[in-house]
Amino acid sequence: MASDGGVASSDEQNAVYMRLALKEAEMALSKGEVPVGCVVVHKPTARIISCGHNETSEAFNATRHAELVAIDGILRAQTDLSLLRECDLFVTCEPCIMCAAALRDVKIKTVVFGCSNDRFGGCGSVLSVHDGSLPISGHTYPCHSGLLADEAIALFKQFYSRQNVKAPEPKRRKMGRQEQPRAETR
Amino acid sequence: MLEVVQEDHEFDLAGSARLDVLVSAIKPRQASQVVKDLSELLPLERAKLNHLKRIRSSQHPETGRLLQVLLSPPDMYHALDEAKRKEIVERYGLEPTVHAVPKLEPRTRAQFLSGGSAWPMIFHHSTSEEARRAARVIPEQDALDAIGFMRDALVDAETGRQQNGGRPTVGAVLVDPLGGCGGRRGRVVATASRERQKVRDEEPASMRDHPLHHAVMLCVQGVGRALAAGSRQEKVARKQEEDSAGGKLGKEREGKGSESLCSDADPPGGVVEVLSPEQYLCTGFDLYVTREPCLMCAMALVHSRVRRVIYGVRDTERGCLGSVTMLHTLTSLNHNYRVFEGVCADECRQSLSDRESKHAAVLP
Repeated sequence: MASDGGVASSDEQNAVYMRLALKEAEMALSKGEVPVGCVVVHKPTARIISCGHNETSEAFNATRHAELVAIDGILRAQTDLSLLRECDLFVTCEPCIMCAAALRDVKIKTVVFGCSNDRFGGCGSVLSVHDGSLPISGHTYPCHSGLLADEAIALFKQFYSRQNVKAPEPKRRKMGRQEQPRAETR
Repeated sequence: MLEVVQEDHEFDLAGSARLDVLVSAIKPRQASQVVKDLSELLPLERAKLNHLKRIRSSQHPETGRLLQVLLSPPDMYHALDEAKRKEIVERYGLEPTVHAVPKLEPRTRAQFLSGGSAWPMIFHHSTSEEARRAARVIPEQDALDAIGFMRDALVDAETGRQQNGGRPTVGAVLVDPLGGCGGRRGRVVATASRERQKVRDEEPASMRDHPLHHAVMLCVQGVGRALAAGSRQEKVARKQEEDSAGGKLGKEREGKGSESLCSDADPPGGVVEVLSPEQYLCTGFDLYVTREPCLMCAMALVHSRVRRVIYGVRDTERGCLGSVTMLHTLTSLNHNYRVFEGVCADECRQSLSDRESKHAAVLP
């Protein structure tokens, strides 16, 4: 299970990064996506090298989670992914099992997340992918949970209230695809 | 083609399946009141013993009919509030003794019968292993179709090898099993190699050797691209409809269901470029892949809600649908698909690199 809180000496700085991740999550929310956002911080230079938010609906692809979008961003910017060994990921919600595994593959240094993900969480909630509990060899990474979790949860609540049946019908809402709760894509 | 399932749990009553609990003899006319009181004080579900009956009736050689009640595991009994415990003991004259019962629910009739000699159990045939096994049988035709689609995955692997400068590559195709046309059952809706080519054609060169572009992830991306194309087409059609509006609203919209998925625009025997936005992610689709998927890919397929995953050979090092773990048996996830292995296993193993084929276990 991930330990609570961030590293004491850089708590304030970590909160700044998490607020930027929350900004990303707000952008997702404004587009009708599940509100999860992240930033990737290169620790030695304190530079944000990438960011991303969930875009599963837009891409018709349930794997377009914030983390994978941010990793693509690094590559598109011609940066070598080996830089991730010196990078921390700040993400508003616990990475799912898929992302937790991907973050091992790209050798992230540390992951800091806000709220837990009881349904899909891969950093302690459903499985502990990050720490090598599973007999899969290769890179592992430490996780810190709970940073600005309330704010991450507040965004989820906003998202789900918009899915409320009593909410005004959006234009041209159709049966079929949109009947499925999109929230479950994450 | 063999389904990858979790094995039956051990039901060794002398070993791991045995649990010591406290039982006590009671007088027959107390039975219904005891059951009522105990369901409040010591509920069986709290001890995860819902599969056991509360009362056992047996014949005693000397005293005739013997009625016994199951109290709870000792720790739960002793954790009970002292006054409450005393009260119930005195009211019914309980004399708790230790008795061994089956710890786990019976999953087969044999387990039900063997466990029942220790303590009466509850057994639901509909959820039994036998019933599940019977439901698991897939049509023979599906197994034949699977060989054809695994060949497509092998072709995809070969195309991938050429794309990767001769480096052996895992091949994968996503199949809509109901979308067949031209005599074939089902059709390929995405291939890894086509998507890899799209990345090469449309993305910066730095995206070429993306470490996360596994064959499965590329297929899922391919379906997303086709759905996005379908959505754009629909918007255009709707716009035209609105522009030419008047009395003939919705006239052009016939045949929009699954039939239109199989349009003339699709190359014969080729891979579709456009999927109707009625399709939700990969719901109902089957994924064929030459080698067992890793954890990331296995979870991507949960998110995408595929119906089945069929792979050729196991990956004993990183495979998470049978080898390292069985992600598809995690019932806490919101979607579960069925997994099959061993289709064209030899060809699939040959398509891997020498190093990788060392970890490629073919069915025993």
